[in-house]
Amino acid sequence: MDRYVLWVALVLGAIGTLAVYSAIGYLAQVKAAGDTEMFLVRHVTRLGVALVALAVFSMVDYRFLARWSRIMLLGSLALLVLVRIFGVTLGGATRAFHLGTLSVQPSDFAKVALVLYVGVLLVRKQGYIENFQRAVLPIFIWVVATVVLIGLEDVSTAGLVLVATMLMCYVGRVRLAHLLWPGGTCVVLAVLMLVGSPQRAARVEAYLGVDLFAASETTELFNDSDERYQARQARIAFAMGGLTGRGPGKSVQRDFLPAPYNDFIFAIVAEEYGLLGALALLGLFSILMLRGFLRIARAAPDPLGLFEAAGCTILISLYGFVHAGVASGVLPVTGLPLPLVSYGGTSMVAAGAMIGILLNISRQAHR
Amino acid sequence: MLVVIFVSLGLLAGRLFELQVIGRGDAQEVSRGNALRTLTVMPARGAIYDRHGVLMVHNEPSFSVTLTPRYFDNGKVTLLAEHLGVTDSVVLARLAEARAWASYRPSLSFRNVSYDQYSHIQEDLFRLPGVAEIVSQKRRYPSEARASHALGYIDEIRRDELEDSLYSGRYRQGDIVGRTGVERAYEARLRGIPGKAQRVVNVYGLEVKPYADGQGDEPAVSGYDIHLAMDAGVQALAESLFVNKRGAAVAIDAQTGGIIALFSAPDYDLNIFSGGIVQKDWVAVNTHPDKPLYNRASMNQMPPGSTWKGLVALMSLDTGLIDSVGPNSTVYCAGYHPLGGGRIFRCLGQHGQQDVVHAIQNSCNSFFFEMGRRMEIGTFRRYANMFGFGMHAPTDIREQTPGLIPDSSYFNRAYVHWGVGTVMNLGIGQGDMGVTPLQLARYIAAIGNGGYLPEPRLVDYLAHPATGDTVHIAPEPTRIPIDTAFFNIVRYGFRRVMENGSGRMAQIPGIPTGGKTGTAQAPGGMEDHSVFVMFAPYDNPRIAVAVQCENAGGGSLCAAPIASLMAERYLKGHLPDSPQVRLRLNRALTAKSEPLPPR
Repeated sequence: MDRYVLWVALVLGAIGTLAVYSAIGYLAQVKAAGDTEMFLVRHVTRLGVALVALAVFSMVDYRFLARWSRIMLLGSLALLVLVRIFGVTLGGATRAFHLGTLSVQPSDFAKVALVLYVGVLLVRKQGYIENFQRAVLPIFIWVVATVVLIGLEDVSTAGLVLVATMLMCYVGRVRLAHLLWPGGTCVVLAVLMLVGSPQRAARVEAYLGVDLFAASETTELFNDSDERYQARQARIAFAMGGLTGRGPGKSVQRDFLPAPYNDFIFAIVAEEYGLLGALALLGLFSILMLRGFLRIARAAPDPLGLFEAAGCTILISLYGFVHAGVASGVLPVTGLPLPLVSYGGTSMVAAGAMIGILLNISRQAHR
Repeated sequence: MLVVIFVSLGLLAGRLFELQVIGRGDAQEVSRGNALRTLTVMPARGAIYDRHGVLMVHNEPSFSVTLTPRYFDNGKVTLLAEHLGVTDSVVLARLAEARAWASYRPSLSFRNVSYDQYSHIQEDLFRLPGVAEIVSQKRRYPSEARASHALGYIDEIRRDELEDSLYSGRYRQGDIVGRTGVERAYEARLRGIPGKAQRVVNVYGLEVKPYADGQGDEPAVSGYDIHLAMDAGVQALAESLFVNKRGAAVAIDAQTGGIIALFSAPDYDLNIFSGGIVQKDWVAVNTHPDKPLYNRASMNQMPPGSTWKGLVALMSLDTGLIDSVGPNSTVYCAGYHPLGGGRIFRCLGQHGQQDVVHAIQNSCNSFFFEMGRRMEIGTFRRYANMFGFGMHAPTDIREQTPGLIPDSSYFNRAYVHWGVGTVMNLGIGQGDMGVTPLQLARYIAAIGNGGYLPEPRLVDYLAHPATGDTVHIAPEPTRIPIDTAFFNIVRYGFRRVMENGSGRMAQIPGIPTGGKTGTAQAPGGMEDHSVFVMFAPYDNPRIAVAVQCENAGGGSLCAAPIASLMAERYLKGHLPDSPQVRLRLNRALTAKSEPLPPR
């Protein structure tokens, strides 16, 4: 079993616990009359569940999971439809079911199931992988169906899952020219969505610092609204961190940043632990990525193991880097958690499960 | 692929280095501003007083509730709804609106909540995260006189106006501007200059204290207070007399032109606008068949009727169409003007030989038809213009129409055939002409004071509440180039109207006056319009009044009692309880405008 990956998961969990404990003060003040410990307990519980998932999935043969992946994917797609109908509103969009204190986001299941099933399809179609109609198109149909259903409510997650599965296909020897086709479609779709939603357009405008849609109501309505504000506050967090940081629990920007415990946890880490802390966090994700690609995937006992390992690695590290990119202002503002670090329900469990799968594949590695 | 990964990783690390090490100073500078919030401090809009210092408009606090959706606890919807006296669904709807615009920023979700609601929410604020309250100002109208059209209403600035050079840069979304009346004409002075305040904001975005003890703050400069020439008592009297009527009354200082009363009926309640008008109220006031928003006092054009005869008399004397003495000083009235065989140009009586004074006293149509026959239409228009007819008055009332004084080119455009008969009608103030009550008031003031045309104006002076700076608005009246002797003849004719003619019922006990009734023909077979102009006292008049009552019959029926009561109230400071006053009150109150036919 790959010890490095296991340690990375544990250290990420530990850093996350520290950072979330520090960052969650205001939410606690608002929702639980200042009972920060309650949220700490909640976070640690969820982390525990995630680690259990990690353990369980590291025991279960990934081939067994792969066999059921189609059912799992269909099931989570059904859940996505249900959440559209019955779900609760969370941060502007309907994304989740409530189960007690845990809000269940079916998109978290869907993305894991999709990665597993795309791996299965890639293996199955390796014989004629160069044939677009027979091999590539069926894969894309599944991917697009899932991405659209996720994208109805959460565009950034959908985009990320799309990119991750495209990369998987690239690993699975799908021709680059075939990948360009859906890539182009996505660019068109993205532009359409920007034009369709002033909120999204404003985010991109805030990011670029220009008024792209000056003729519309967009700029007037969202002038210095959330997006520009968040980016500015995150920037301050980084600057205040400096080289060595303010020190654990001493973040100031947690009170100016929206959702510091979730979408901007990287900024909090950077503020409290400085450049060194931030680089260390990036380092952990790099280790995970390198081990995932270079060791686990390469040493996988069969093509299925290779594709699944690559898929899980891509998805987790993509989350990590996109989150870091958003927080540091390299990418436009979107709400993506940092796997195993951010305060969050099912996304953490999903991350745990994927690392579990990675570990399972590494256990069966051929020497 | 690995190359791509390492390049991206390198980019990220580089970005971190840039942010955390190189760009540190910049952002630390920014972060100082982070705990500071710069607020715009709105100045107090100026108050408005009448000529005796009676407060007519001032400000009162207006309470609004803001929502910050991200921090709002969804379990508290019912609590907030109960405090506000609305249903849960309303609160949820406002939450959704607020979220759509910025979920981490407060949105102004409930305007103008009552003081009770405000204080209940304030008590519960600690239980209501994401809820905050804002105290701003709205207009309050404490006077017994509504003076809606004179004072004017205020409204939130529109988007297109924000881009207008008139407002841009100095106004922001949500600011208030005057739309009509004094509020509009004196917007720049009333508004004042917004200030800036820097507040230290705590970690939850709540303001704690001024920054650096407020040293960097720029205080707001309040607007000028306005002192009107208006007499709220006279204004209120006019308003009370116009029950069941459409029409307008304008009373001005006969020497200076200061507007003592300006009323347009029906009027509307300024309070519906004071804190942002509700859609329902706007539709009601804007679609009312009697058009309450329309300022009849300065915009209603109708023929002046016989009140016009003073002007025609002056023109005729001045141009020699008739003389004051000698062989050419009378016209014979047989009950009609001979042109048209006596059937078309009829008089109300058989007056016999009439000179100017008697023709005015008897309102003799035959005489003035003859003047119309003798006159040249271009001259007619020139004299009408001398009195300010057919043009906008130089005044601080922005809502105006110029009225209509025809000339030959107008008739050429309007009619295939026109001739002397068309022009003769103008001699008695009927036909194709339109004058506004405001113009009539200037005109009768000029007759009363012997030839000085005053500039009517609502505002007497502006005074700044803090600096004491005062701006007087005292335009010089214009001398009308007509011999004073002719004015005295016409003035005397107007006095005879009050003492011996159709104005008898409108005399003011103890005060000699001059006046003239008018009956303007209304189109469509409706009841005539009742018109009356007067000045008082006869010597050195202080007040000039013009009243129009739409579709309310002859001039002596409705307009005359209203005008003379207003003048009496102004000159005596109160209305004495006398039989003469009661008689006029009774007449004025029972007169009615014939209702407009349904459209």
